[in-house]
Amino acid sequence: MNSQTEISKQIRMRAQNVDVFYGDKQALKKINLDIAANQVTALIGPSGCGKSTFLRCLNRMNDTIDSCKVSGDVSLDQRDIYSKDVDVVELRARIGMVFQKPNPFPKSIYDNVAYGPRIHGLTNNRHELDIIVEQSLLRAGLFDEVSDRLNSPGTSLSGGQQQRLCIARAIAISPEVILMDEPCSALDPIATAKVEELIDELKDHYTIVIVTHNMQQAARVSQYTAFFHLGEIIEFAETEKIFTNPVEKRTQDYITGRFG
Amino acid sequence: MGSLFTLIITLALAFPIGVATAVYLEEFAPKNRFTDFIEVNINNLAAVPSIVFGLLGLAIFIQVFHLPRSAPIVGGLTLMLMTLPVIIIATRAALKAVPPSIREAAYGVGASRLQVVTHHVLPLGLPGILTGTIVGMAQALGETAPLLMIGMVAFIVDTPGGPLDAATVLPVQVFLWADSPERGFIEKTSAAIMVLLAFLIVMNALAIYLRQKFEIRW
Repeated sequence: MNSQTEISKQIRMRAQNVDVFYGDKQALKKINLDIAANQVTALIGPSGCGKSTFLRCLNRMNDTIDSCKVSGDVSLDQRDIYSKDVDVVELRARIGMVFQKPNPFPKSIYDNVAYGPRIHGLTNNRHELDIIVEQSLLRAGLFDEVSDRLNSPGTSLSGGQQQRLCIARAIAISPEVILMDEPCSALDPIATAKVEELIDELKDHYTIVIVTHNMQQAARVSQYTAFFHLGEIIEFAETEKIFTNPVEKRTQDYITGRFG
Repeated sequence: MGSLFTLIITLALAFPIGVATAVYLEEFAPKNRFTDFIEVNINNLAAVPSIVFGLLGLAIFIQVFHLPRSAPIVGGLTLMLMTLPVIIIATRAALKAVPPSIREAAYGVGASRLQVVTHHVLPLGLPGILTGTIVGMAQALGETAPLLMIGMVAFIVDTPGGPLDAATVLPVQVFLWADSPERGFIEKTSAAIMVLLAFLIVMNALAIYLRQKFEIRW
């Protein structure tokens, strides 16, 4: 197992010996993974190999599934996020998430972005909120397209715009880490290119973990790549190394399209 | 007037209790044997013949609590028992129909469970909840059997001045008048039936209107 690749950069999140069970079924086996700060880490692997499950462990989204049991340690800045004194709500404010399918709230574009800051009480008045909304939309590269219709429903946007709206919503609460679960799988190539560009820009401010089925995408946007297969990490290394000179044969087979 | 008081009491009690129960069962309650058992019971209750509720109302509200016989308050309480399961089931169905992606999105930005429910799930489920409630209320409006059991059959001449006065409701009135052989009662019965039907139509129309008004598409 080559999951112990040294990361030269600062480590933001670390998973140690993480096991996840759905009922009796084990979805993840002894996962060890370090996530470098201000870098993009890609998780690749065939469907059902546990990438999304692992991603959801990182902000405890699995808590909402009754049959799901997580053991092992996951830490954010050296603090165990599964310990009892951690406030899940605060944790999810520090670790934002973007989902596979764009899922804006059935509210206005403005309210979609403003929702997070509102419930966390990040602003004192309307003016501050306006600034946050504008900043978030600007960072998500959406502001120019929607600035004249902030009050129209978020669901009226196109798929690609909706996804960028969801990204804007995620960054509005200024998280430290953004988890993206196949953010481009429902988008066309042009929208995908925009989102990828965005990811590249966002990494200066945030730590990003992205699940993707698209090898080229992983190669394009990420600095580190972990290859999952059947609930285990087969290989984890710098993206360049994984794609040009993988150690494991299974990794090579997968990225060259021989299975999966 | 009897019908009105009765329905107000039914609505005032059944709606909050029913919605609260459904939200708790659907969103907060742990899934275990006990909640499963409650669920099965609620589903069974919805199918219990209404006359049984009448007997229950008689036994509890009149015998145990000594509330005045024939009063709208007893009728309302009894009909509340009957409507409750209908509202609970309709509300749960409406809450279940809220897409999971919306919940995930809300959790994803760090909303607590209560915030997810009050900010997103309930508003989205509202049209379904209202429809279910009004259908339940319409059913309660047309109900005769349980009210016979609690004594809302007496021949009442005056309109009731409040929920504690003796009163009767429209369907019971129809039931009574239809039995009377005198000529005048035929017209009276017909009139009462038409009033009752008109109310039912109005309530169902209201249900459809509310559902369409609050419907949010995504």
